[in-house]
Amino acid sequence: MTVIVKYFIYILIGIPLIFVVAGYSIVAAQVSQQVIVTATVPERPPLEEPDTMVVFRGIAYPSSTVTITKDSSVISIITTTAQARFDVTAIVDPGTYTFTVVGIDSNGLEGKVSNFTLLLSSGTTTVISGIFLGPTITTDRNSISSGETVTLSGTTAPSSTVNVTLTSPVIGAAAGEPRIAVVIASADTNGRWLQLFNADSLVAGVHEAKAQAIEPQDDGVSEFSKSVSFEVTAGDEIPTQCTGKLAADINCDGFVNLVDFSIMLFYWNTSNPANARADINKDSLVNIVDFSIMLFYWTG
Amino acid sequence: MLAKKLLKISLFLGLFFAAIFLFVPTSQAAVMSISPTSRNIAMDETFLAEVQLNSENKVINAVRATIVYPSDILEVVGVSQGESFLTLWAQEPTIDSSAGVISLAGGMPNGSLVINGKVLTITFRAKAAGGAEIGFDKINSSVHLNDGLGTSAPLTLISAIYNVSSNAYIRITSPTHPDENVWYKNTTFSVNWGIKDKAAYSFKLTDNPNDEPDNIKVETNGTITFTDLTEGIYYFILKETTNAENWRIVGKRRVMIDTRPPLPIDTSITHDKSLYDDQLILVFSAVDKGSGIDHYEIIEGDEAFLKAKSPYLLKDQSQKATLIVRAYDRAGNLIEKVLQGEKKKAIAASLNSALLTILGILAVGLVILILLLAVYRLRSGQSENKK
Repeated sequence: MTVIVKYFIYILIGIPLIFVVAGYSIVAAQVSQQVIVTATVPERPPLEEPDTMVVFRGIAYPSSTVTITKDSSVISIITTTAQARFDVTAIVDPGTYTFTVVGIDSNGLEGKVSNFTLLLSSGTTTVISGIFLGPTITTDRNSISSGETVTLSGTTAPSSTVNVTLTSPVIGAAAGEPRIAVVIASADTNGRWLQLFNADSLVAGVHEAKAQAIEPQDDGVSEFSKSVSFEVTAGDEIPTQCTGKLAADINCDGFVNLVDFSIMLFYWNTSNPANARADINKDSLVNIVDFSIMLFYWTG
Repeated sequence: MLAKKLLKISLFLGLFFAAIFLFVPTSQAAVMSISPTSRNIAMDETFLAEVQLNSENKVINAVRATIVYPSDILEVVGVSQGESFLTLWAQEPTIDSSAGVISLAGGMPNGSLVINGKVLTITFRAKAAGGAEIGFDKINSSVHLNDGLGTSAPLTLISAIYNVSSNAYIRITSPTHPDENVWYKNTTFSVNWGIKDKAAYSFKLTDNPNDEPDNIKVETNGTITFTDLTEGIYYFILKETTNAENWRIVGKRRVMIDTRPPLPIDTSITHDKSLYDDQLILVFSAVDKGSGIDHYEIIEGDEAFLKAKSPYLLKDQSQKATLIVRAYDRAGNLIEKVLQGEKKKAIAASLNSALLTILGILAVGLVILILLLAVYRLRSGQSENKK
């Protein structure tokens, strides 16, 4: 008993400490704006089996449509608010599904899809909150030369800060690692953003760009947008079919799809493939890393 | 005194680390595991083990796994990609039964956050008694982030340990679903077993192989039929007692039902210099969420259906013939996609436009003829009146 009294002070310090650390971790999770998935099971078994439900809550693009599919079947199409918010509930059968959330902005541009694979147990309500779809993105041209400008634009949550990540080739570097720069743009009250790049400030070669938004209300960070690419050419260079195309677009037809996958499989687990574009990351091997990069850029 | 101080410090540190372990998110490494992690198996029993993945709040898009098992205790009856969240397979699961290794590489376009996602289902048969660990080859297993760089995510691998006893179950047969390792479309399931004199039985049909019947005696002649089963995997579990007290599980029988066809087939006709000398090829892919895709068949024009793999070199490079692609799942459900010959479509379109032009000319000619006749009759009427 005396021992308990003696160490009471440590317990007194320890318990608040637990809550301080717990509080920190909860706040940390909110700041990093991770998607939060919670499942609620009824406390007592009701007379009738309750519905199995899944709730999607998040941010897309202002006054636009968000489509939710379950294993490729559309289960809901909703319109977002002017602040780009959406909140939708769907009743489904229990099981394991991949849900896909995708938005199309008011200009008809489709954003990057967001997938969630989860097991839904019978009678539970699963809430997927904190979804923040990546901005839409497009480029006005595939190729620019000295003195010319390329404009990247798109839509996200109103008044957001938009970080545009530009991955540029490094000329003559032994390591061959690309150079990554982040340029900060701003979205207007309608969520529209744009960023210009001048050829004179960029090296020659294919540049890839993707955007990520930070929403002002609670500093939520979006997922990345799709990637777009453009090529900076020397004035006398003749553009080829692959000029300005993504590295994952192996056959340079403007899409990353089954055809590119098929070409990759043809060279699977080989080194220095005859079609050099099959080795997307240029490490001389066609393997799981190239496959992963292709899946990231997938357009279907 | 020193001991007391140490005790105080360790108590304080203990509370601090307890707080960290309790509330701070763990290493955030993706977790790939074999489920269930432990089980008791009877000799000669076939059972399912699932490879599962938890991406721990990371969006991942590709998985490479090398599963290892003791080939002297277990043998692989089959593998199923049904219900897997992976939709594209760079390397279909391959089994090396002598080395006890299963390898695969699959992915999902645009990645996914994965919570208890199924990668693969493996059907094993216990062929010898002993402890069997099913795990992963760490070097050849990886999970990749959907970051456009193919970054390998931190990964925790969790093995399973199954105990195979030397006791075997009694034989339970099924006239409706003869092989428990095969998927069927039939939703009526019957089982038979030889009953013993003075024995009582209790049974349960469940989706959990570890469930147990309730030890309540059921009058039976050794034949039970279940109707209108929804699709899925079920276990008929049988308990027996000869003294009304000591119930024990004496048999298990699995049934696998899939009534849904695969999801629509994705196809594309294309050509590429690096494939088949730039000739026209058909690439295709489909997903089945139940039993998994078994095979594809293709028919070109009036020929017979043939099994095919993507990419498929078109025999009719002129693209006049109609192409039909069929995807079958392991229960025999099928979906097909008809691809009208591109040239045929073009010819049909040009024929249609030619027909329309002819009809248009005929219509205009007819109108002019009617007008001319009307004018002629009007004039001849006027001249008769003058006479």
